[in-house]
Amino acid sequence: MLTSSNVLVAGVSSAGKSTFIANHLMPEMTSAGRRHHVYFAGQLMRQYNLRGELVGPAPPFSLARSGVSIVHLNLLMPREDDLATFSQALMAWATDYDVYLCYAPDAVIRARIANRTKVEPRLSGDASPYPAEQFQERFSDVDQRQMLLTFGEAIAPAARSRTIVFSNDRTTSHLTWDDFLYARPSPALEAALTQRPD
Amino acid sequence: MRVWRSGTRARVGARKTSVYGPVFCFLSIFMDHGGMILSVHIRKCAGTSLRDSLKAAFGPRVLFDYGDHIGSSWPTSLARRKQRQTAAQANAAGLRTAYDLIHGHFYRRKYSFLGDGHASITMLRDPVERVLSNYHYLKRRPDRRNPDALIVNALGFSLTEFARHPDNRNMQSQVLETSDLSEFAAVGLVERYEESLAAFSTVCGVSLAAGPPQNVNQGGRSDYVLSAAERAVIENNNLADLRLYDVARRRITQLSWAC
Repeated sequence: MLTSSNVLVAGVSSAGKSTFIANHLMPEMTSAGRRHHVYFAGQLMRQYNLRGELVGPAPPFSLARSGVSIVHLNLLMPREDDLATFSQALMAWATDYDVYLCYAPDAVIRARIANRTKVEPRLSGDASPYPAEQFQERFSDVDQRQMLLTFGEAIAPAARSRTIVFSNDRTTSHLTWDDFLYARPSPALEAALTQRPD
Repeated sequence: MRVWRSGTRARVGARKTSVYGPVFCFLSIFMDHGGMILSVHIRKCAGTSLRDSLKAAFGPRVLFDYGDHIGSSWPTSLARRKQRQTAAQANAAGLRTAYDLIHGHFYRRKYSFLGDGHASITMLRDPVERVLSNYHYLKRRPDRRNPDALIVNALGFSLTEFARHPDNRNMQSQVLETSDLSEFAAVGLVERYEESLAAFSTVCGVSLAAGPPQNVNQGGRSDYVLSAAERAVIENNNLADLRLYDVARRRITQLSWAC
């Protein structure tokens, strides 16, 4: 259940961000009668400075102060320095994010990148081809788990909640931050990790 | 000396008194156990290689007991162990009749219901090497569904995260349920495999032949590059195992378990 007006959905490419937004967040907000808008981090980065001030040409959108703003962040898109800068910008804009960190096992991500087409057109209208080769190369250079942990720690001061959206094959479940970090044995975590597609 | 119950094991007692000399007093304790031999296989401690040797020597009178999810405290693992323990206990008479040796992944006390007559053996490994080997073994098997494999392959745990996880700390001490190995008739070391096999042969009363190593990383040790910081994390999370390994190493040196 969303409690904040600001939602951040982050993860590497093909971790399930757009699917989570389209299949979970948007229906939830629609059924609750809340207005919402999805902002893509790449666009925001080009138009705002660290203090959240507009620096570029007037954007076609603005961070909503009514309804719900959903920021979609592909952790493979920005360079490492840009990601750190963007994290600071996010924290300058708001301090009450419901943060959803999308994660899937590396083997699942690789298969998704190889086989998929863009989901984003459903959200943004961007119909350009999915750059699978570029993302495979980027993904092979990063440690997904470490990247998510580092980003999750960095954004913690501005997060009112942090949830791991764990997907494996065709099933998705939510893990707590501590479950993801420590994997202390529990029925809930075991159920999430051992889930199999129908 | 022991008189074997079944015909599958040779009588060995008298000859050994002369061959092993001062070692004999120690070994004789083991050879007089008169009951089942329990061979506890800790993960990545050459137990699969040993399994082949035991199978060749004992044939149908060895029971391989795998599937207890040793070293896992996940809910289904606990339930699974309880169920299997109950089943084993219910079949105590059948076990005594059908088998001379049980080898596998189980906690040392699992078969305590068999009484005092049994003898336990096991193989230890340098704790740092064992954790490294276990971690990389799991990394090479992304389809495994055991809990320890899932934290490596589904959650992407690093080596140090894996070493810090409660289930992976002091795995050898956990499974053997001992602090000084006094409960064991013989304890081998992976690093001294052939000598260890000779000691096990004495306890088992059969000649165990070393076959080709099994279940080893075919890629060699190239994955096992270890930084000083990683080594420190593994050591700090395996202090009991380091002590246990030291005990085994001193005993195998002082007592010359090997022939």
